[in-house]
Amino acid sequence: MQLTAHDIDRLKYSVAYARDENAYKQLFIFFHPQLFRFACHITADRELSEEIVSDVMMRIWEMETRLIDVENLRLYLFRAIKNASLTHLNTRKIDFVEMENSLFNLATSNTPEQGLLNLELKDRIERAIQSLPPKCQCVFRLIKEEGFSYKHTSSILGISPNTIENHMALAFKKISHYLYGYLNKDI
Amino acid sequence: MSNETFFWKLLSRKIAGEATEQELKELEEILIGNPYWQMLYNEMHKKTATGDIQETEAHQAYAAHAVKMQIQGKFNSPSILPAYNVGKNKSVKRNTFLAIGAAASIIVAALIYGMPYFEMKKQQPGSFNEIITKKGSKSNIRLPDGTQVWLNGGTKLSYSNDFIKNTREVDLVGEAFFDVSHDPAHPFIIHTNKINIKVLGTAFNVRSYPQDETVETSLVRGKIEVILKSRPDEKIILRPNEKLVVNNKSTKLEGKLRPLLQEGLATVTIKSVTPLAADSSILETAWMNDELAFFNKTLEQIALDLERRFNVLVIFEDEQVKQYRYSAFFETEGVEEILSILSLSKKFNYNTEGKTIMIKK
Repeated sequence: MQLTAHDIDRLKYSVAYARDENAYKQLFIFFHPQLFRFACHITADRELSEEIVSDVMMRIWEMETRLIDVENLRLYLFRAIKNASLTHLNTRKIDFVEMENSLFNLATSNTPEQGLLNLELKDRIERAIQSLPPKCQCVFRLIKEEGFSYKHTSSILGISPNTIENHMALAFKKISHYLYGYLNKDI
Repeated sequence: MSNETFFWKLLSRKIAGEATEQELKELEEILIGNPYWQMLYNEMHKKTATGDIQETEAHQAYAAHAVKMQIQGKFNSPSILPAYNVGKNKSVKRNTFLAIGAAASIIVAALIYGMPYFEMKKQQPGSFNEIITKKGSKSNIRLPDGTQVWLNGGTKLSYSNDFIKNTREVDLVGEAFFDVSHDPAHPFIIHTNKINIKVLGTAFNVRSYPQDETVETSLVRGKIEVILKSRPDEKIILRPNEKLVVNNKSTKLEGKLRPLLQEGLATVTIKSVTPLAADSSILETAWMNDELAFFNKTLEQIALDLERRFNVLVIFEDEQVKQYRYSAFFETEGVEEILSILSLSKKFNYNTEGKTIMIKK
């Protein structure tokens, strides 16, 4: 499902004022994949992430008309997911969790037998991303995969735009080295 | 700043949409002189594929989420409320619930069990909690560990008072939907007459009425492990949207999607849950929304569901009629209306006396 910023605003109003459950459902379906992905990247725990997304989305419904004050809903949700995820991790006394390779094959699992070569490259890139340090990986995914700007990423993670750029540069450098042998053979 | 680091920062700005005109020009110049970076740049510009699987997962997640919202009273639409008089008027239904629902429909009894039970379960002395729903009613409870359980009519759930300490174990007779709270250190185990189900944290439906032909468990999300009591060494792992069907009476084979093993004469199969059209709900949990859904079921099996749902007694005066098969979906219809609709599709006659319904050819 694709929603434009305008659609999201419209749905937000329907939820806030008309208490429209169908509008709420559309928001949920639209945001679930990205929020779930994000929570998983922080917690490395699919079931816990499912719970976190559900809790955060429930709060959206409970806000009633205060939901209107939320200017950028997507940003707000990502921030809420990050806070909720870190709260859960805090109770277990760990920081960002190191990803197991097997845990995250979301990106590769959707592509069936279409072009083996292509799939292999995607697979390699995904593995390169997974090999990044947790925070660096988180920054990279928010910008590259979710399309957030420096400013928004900074607001979600609570780190400065400068630090974000450093994380990004490091990520590209590592991915580049990781893929060097593979990509270079065609040149 | 090294040339390389400078390039990575430029690339980063470009991808994040932060680059100025000037920076874009510089980036292009660097790329021309470096084919490897050019390739990497192209790869990094491809959109990450987001597939149908994620959308399906989102719908599943919403199904579970919506149930949670309804249970906690966030949504206005009627849902998991006991069905007393299932009339067309939804608000009447709600008021009925508010007035007498909580008080009358659930018998929650913390029972100190007598000697026979003590002998059976010596290792767990102390008291047990037992929750029983009458036919024609439903209820929702929260266990001490936060797990939510929705009980369909004619169901009994029991658990020990020291439930939370070690493993979380419950006994179930009847049908219930479990949303198990996440706690890997304390596995959650459900005992039924045929199977034991072990979970870490997940949502699923269990249907194990002694009168039914089959024992079924349907998984909405997460992962569960099923153990047949007669073959305790074999574990069956269920994935989301799969359901496990164990034949109770060892009669006919049902479905052949993944025949697993022969359990004496009884058959064990795994098939997928049955989606209902229009939204993401599935047939297996329709009862939670006061809906009745049948897919290719005999009238005999349907009658058992009607008995549980409307607290009536159905008597067949003809053996043949029992085997008539129907697929149907009912939202607000009463029992009489359901029977009249079914008999339109394949003809049978019936008459009602008080709470008893007689069905004949």
